[in-house]
Amino acid sequence: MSRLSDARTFAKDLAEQLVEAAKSAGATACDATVGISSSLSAKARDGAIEDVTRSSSRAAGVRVIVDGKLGFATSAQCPTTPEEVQALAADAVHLAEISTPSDINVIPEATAVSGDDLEQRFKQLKLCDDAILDIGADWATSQALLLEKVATSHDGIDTVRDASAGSRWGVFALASSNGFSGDYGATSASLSTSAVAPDGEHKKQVEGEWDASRFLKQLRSAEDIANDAARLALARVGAKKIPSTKAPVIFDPSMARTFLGAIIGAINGEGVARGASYLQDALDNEVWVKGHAIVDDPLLVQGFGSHPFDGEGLEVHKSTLFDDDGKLCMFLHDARSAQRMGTSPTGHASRSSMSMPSPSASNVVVQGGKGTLDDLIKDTERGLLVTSMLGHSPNGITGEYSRGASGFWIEDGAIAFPVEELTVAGTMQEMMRGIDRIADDAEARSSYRIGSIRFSELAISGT
Amino acid sequence: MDEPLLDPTVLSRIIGRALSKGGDFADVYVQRRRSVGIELDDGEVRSANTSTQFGVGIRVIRGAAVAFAHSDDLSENALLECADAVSHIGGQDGGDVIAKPLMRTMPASWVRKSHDDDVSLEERLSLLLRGYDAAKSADARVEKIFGGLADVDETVLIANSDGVFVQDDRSLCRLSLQAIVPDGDKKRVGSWGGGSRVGLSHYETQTPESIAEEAVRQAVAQMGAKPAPVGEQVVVVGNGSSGVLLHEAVGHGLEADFIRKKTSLFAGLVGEKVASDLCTVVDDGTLEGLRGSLNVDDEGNPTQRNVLIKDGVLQGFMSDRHNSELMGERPTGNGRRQSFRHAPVPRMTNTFLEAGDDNPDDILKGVKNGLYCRAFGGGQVDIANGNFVFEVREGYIIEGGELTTPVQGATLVGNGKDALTKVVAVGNDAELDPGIYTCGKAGQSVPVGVGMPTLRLDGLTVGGTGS
Repeated sequence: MSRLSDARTFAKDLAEQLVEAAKSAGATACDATVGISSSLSAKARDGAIEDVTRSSSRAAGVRVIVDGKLGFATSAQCPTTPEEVQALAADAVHLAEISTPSDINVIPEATAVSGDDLEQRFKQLKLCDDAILDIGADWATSQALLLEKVATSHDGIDTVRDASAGSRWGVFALASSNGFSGDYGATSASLSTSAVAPDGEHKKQVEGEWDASRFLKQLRSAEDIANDAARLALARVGAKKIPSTKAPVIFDPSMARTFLGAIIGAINGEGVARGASYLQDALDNEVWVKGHAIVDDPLLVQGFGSHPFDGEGLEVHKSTLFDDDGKLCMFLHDARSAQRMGTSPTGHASRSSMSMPSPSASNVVVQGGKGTLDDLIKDTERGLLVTSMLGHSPNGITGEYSRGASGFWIEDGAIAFPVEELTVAGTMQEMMRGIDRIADDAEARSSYRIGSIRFSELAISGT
Repeated sequence: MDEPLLDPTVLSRIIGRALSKGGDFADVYVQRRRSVGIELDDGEVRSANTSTQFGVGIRVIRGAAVAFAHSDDLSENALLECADAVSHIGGQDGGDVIAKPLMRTMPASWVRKSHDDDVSLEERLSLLLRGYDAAKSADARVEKIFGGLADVDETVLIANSDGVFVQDDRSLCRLSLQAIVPDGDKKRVGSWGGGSRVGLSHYETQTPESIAEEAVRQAVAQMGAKPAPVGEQVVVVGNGSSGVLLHEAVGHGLEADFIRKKTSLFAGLVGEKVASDLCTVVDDGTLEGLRGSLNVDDEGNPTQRNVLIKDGVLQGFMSDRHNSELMGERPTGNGRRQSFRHAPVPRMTNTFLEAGDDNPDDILKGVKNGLYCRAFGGGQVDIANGNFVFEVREGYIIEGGELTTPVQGATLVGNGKDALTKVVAVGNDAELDPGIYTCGKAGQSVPVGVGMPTLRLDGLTVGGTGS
């Protein structure tokens, strides 16, 4: 782990230096972040390695408040000399000078655990795997080749789009004028491939499968992933459009995650405070389906969204976003969005080394799921199973939802045939209340843990 | 000539080291970039930030394999280490090219009207505030205004084993405004913006006031909007940013990496009819000063005007050096990368449909029932099957050749293989977007331009909640 701990020490020291420099440059309050990361990936095609990429980056950001005015400067050219540290801090102060003073520009008091307690908590979160720090290009290239080989060994699959394997480690340090100084690291590895199945003379169906984990030995095998990708692509051959209709619609877990993401986006305190969210007036209202509380948990062991402190040095803990009655219980706030709405920060400030803090969820868990995707299909007489969507909906301000969709038509409780080039539409407000089933098949490979969902009825556009 | 970002003798050593174990080609991309961003929230500066980066990306190609690494440490030792890292790919059996000596060339370049280093933060802020003030006074119903101004100044240096050695200065600016107008229990959102590569003097021609007026007009035009009727219809798209349709429907599908790997449905179709004979589609990176333009692409190749589709027949593709080598074609000046941290891939520049002969008013009058789309959001495409979507932000039902009810929440869905075959009328009002779009592909964003004349398409699917 010494590469990681060296990086942590470097990042922590630099963040603390930046805070001192910002104070001397005239900041009334300030904080600084430093991020260091390194990644490796390999892609395979036609039985050979097509691409090997090594990335490493170091970046720092300084946020200053000068008499209520906010400025922010970043450098992807991590400052190393005292002169460079001063220069970055001075940049931030200069930017603050043209800003408008505002009561909302505050740096909160530090409440997060620090020192040994912080180190203890970080160890408990199990975010780092020595095995991932030790792997090199050989692992990535052999896994990528294996993914490609297995995917293309299936009849009907003629090529892959991106058979790739990658690993990454990173550290993050935050120092603040509120006295907080902390740092931590994390690792991850991933495998993914898509399989391309010709569908008639002029069309192709492409489906992919992937897995990611913070621990190498928990990653699904390349063979399993590649076999799944091939199977999924072949299942789409012969996909056709259907006439427009209204019917029950099931989202598989990956689509359900995008839907959950759209909900979480709407309870972001920054958007709510700006009057740019369709849920901004919905606090304490029953806007979500009953029986499936949604909880945000920053301390989930090995979670992809887990972190030991928030982006401003506040304590993190589990919180209920929507309760079992479907009531919206809270918005996610950082110090500024909370200040703007006259409430307290909720420990949800999130940032990278190159960004200002903004509210974000950590690991989002939807509770009360029952059954599998197959159970949902069996219980649907007639409907649409959506496995892939295109388009940037919903509109975060109005809640309008309209996305290109493809998947499978369900008839008499079973998959009948693949479909494509449809759209599903509705409004988020109606869709959130219009869910009648949530399954128990949430996946650990994402920070959003929601199973397959079924909407009792959505508008489907086709021919 | 300006001082090169890196000494040519150092560059030659890096290229030599990158090829020291073999390989067909190596290049070095040095980039120094400074950007400034200001965000305005209802007249107040919500944030002001600057960002700097200065780094090097090193690439080696052997056959179809690419190795790439980057460093933000510019010392010769660090760069040689980076070159070592990528040299291993040359070590598998393959060619053994000797790097040619570097010969510096000057890119053809337009004259920048302003040097934005001299523009103060306060002056940038005042451009945004002008937009805010104009939006506020355009209509009393406007409830909220968001705005942002971002500009980038960068220098890139490209050197490779073919002896190419070119340095290019680039700037890019983008001002955007968003107006929100309440409409009963709904909110109508209008967005507009613009920018280019001439520097902040761009806003002397496209004023912040004109941007604000258009954003407000869009929001107000949507008041009373009803869900769009859904299903296959006659669709008329207005000119300009409707070019997103083209970008998604055929643009990505004509990028050479997807063609070579046969993951695009246009693979193997050169010489075939892929669109109605009213359609000529061009990608042109030489259009002076525009957002999607470049003097040289990010591999040092000059940009050019590429006719992709002529009178409906597929002519060729957009390519970078790597893919064109493998396909036995010449590069088209479309090798682009987001930054020194990324290896280049084929990307679009300014992609548009050429003007036709029809009067846009006549095109509209000729539609008995259909949908007219005036302003657009973003889009997305699955290039393998060609399915694409894009969002309609401002649209109207057409009844008897006239625009009637505004519609909300509409998405246009189609398939690239046949979307352009449905074009039955092409207006004489070709226009490019004002410089607002960013294209994402393979995790890399690059600024692009899109454009179209007014078009009529018979049989696009409209998605939405209407009946």
